[in-house]
Amino acid sequence: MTRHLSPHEFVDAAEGVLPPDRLTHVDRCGECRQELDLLRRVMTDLGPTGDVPEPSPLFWDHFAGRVRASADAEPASTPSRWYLGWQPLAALTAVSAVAALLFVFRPGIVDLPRVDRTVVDATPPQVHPPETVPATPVAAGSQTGPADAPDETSPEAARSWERVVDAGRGVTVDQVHGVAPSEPGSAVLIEDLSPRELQEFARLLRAQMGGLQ
Amino acid sequence: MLLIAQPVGAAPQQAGGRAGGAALSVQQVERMWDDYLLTQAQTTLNLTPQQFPRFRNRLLMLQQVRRRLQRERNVLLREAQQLLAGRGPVQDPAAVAAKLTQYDGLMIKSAEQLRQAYATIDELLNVRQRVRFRVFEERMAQRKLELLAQARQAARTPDDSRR
Repeated sequence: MTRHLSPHEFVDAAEGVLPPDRLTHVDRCGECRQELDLLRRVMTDLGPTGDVPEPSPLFWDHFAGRVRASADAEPASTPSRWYLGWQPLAALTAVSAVAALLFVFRPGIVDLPRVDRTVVDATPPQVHPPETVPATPVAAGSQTGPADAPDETSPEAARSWERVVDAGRGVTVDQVHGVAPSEPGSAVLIEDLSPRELQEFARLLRAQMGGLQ
Repeated sequence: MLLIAQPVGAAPQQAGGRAGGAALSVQQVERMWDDYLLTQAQTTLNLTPQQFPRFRNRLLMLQQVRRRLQRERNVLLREAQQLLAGRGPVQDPAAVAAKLTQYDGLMIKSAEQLRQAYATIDELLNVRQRVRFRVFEERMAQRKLELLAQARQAARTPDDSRR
């Protein structure tokens, strides 16, 4: 008995381009025939006038389903009747304590140590890699406070936006094809690459696969 | 245990482009991508030796279906764009409408064929693997986009500056 069909031979067979000598194996081999029947069913065209069920773009259905499932799994946040328990007393105590502290430490009563702004401002900003960003909040008076946030209504912001819009004006659909897929990204066609890009893609892929071995 | 996804496409020594060997064809690179997918899937999904051969066939079929449908959609879109060529009024509105209908029909057919292709894969996998497969698909789609972007960037860079 000849060898079973390879994966690509199965694909060729389902598309009707398998050489006859290999097809004879399929005729004789129940296992290959069964697998091929299944694959052929997948490849069967439904025809433009066939009774076609509603479109169900697979990824988005699954994605939406997963999102819904996750959302459903979250416990619903029902308003708690905190006022019926012991919490009011604790809350009142906390508020009283804060009020007392504010009174005691109000300006003029206690001279708190002052932060020397000139020193703080002269300190060069530290850049942390994402994984080492300190979890502690940024100190008051730092340069990243809301007061220093960029003003989105400023003339500079408006000019930046105009530059972005100008940059996008000359871009055609063809230029972005392959970067923004109409379907899941794996549907982006490799054949759309230029010859040089294709070889680069192969080189990168080979490097990826080399890393696996 | 690692079942090796048999390289069905280009042999490793066929270095392409700037690496100094013969340039690879589109089909060879597509097969390389499929091999990469299979290798990754095997690890990610923890496929058993019993599952792997059938999974491989069906994943390749899914890829094949996907490419074929994408090609067909591209052709239809290109034809529709050609019908709109020029700035004046549309010469043949009926032809454009027919092309759009054809395109919409293909979208419906695509969804159904892809659903079937996924169903054949799902029936091989347990529930945990099915979930992982969805995540895997999205992750690999993202990976492919990244590699495509890198490839385009590298292709624009002159040879000398990369050494």
